[in-house]
Amino acid sequence: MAVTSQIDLAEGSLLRGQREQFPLVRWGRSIARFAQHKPLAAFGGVIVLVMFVAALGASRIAPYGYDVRDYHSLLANPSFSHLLGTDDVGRDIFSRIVYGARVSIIVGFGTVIISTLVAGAVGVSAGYFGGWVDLVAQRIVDVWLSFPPLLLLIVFAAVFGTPTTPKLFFDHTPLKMILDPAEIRTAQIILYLGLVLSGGSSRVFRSAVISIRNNQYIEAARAIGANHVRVIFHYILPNVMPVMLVIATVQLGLAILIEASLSFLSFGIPPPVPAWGSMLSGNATQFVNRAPILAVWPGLAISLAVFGFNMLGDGLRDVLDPRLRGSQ
Amino acid sequence: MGQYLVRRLLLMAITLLGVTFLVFAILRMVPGGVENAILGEQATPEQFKILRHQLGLDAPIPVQYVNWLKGVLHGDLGQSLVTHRVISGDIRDRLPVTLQLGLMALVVSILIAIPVGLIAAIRQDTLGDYTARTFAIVALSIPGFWIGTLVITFGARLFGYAPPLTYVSPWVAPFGNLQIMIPPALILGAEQSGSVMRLTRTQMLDVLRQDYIRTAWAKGLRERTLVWRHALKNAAIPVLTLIGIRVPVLFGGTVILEQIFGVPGVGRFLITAVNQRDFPAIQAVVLMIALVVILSNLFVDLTYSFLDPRIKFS
Repeated sequence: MAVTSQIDLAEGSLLRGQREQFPLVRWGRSIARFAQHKPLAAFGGVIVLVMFVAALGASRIAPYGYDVRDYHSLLANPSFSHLLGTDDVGRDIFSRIVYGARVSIIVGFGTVIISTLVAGAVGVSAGYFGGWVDLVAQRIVDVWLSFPPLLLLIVFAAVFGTPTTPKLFFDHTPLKMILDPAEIRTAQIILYLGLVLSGGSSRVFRSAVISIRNNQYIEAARAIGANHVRVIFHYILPNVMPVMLVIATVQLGLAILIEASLSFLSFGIPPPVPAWGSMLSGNATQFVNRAPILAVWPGLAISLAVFGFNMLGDGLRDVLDPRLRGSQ
Repeated sequence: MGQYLVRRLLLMAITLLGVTFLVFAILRMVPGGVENAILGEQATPEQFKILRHQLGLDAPIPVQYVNWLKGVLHGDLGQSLVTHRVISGDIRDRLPVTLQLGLMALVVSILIAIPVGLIAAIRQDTLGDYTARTFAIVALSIPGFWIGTLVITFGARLFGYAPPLTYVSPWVAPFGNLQIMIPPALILGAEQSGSVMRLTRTQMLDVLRQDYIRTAWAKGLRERTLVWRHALKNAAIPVLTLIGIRVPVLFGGTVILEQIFGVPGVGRFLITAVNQRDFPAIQAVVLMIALVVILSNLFVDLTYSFLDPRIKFS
């Protein structure tokens, strides 16, 4: 008797909980449960959301443009008109930080997308096909991993230089566009950082694929005639998704950190576009005596952003695949 | 053991070759050619030709590669375009500085991370564990260059602190050397300790779940003996490998901190070279750093195989 009623209860809640509600409500409940079990990760998620909003709505949220100079208040202290003060040419720090979020989000997401695509392609091919594909891929990744990421990026920056004038791209194609130096530079950083970061994660994807490949249903699928493409896209990739999501979230934090380091060394996005890293190196160190507080805000923004992404990634990892705990 | 060693060395040689190839290729990818980037577009074709000959760029690419490789194997890393000094001399002076900074940072991070990670694992899911984990993530979220900048700006303002201007080697004046090296090493170490702490905790948790630990508990061993004699030794091995993986990241960190604190290491040399577009120097530094990373990986692997007898037979 007791057993039946328990099953009824379970089935009932299953029906109630999952089949009758709109996807949006289901998602909402999942998020609420996530927040309940992992409050710190949810806090990280809130930070990420704030960053997103700041990035997308920068022009609405920021009270001033990022290069609007108020010559009446240079190096001002925080006040009502300038929430975080101004820098040495009168630009509002708060607005620049909000616009800086846009740069970080764009670079972060672009990098992670490219890194996941490349690492996914390499890792899945190496793990699935094995043999000499695996050998060659592993050696390439070995070489790749011998270089510190920041160093490689600095070298890329040196080799490809900082563009100073707008340039035409994809001429004679429908994608023809003119990009200004800041945009060119952003694209370059996204591309190189994505490539550089893909080395480490390809190893993780490879081992995930290897462990999935050993399952019997893969063998069964091949037996009924599924070709490689179908097996990869229909069976392997959906199971690798959680791993990819976790790695992607953690790499977002890393990408933002590296981009900030690059901007700090003045190899990043050229001025006047504000990036949190370059805000730290330019004004902060020159005007140490008059406004040391300038050194605080950009760094705080970077720390909060990276912290948010890392906490979120950690929480996601614990929820999606506890086996991955501490692997990165 | 011998077979493993030979295999490992062969792997290392292949990786090294690939590294030289990559370094060589990257510096040849300069749009418009290296000579264009150095001289600018106003130079005459004559000047271009002279520079090309100087840099050996007029030979076909495979020949260039072989020549460069031969030079490297003999210890000749070329000549700086800007200072006209022999690069290997400069690197020989600066590499030990960076290595010292990196090593000190590594020691600091281990000293902080391993005890904390241990305690977090032993007292899993308690307040101590959560605090430790949060601190770890805070540590690896805060950019080292920000702390460095804060130390310099507020240090100057509040304490009149300024990093010493001239570098002294530890053999000449150990105290002076430490004065220069300790602040950046502490900052870098603290930053790295976050990741090492999490890895330690995970490995420790894995080990603590094992059956032999349960047996030891059941036997009635005290917690301290358990942790020290059984758990720690087994958890130490993967942690060692994971520390080895941090070496490239450590190098990235030293580059920035050298710049901030004025430490004359290889990182600062690289940044100066990049700003001056001194391509032979850039090439040489990147190669040297990759070499150090590969050697440290080799060292970690060999130590790993020495500590864990199972590896030799895999």
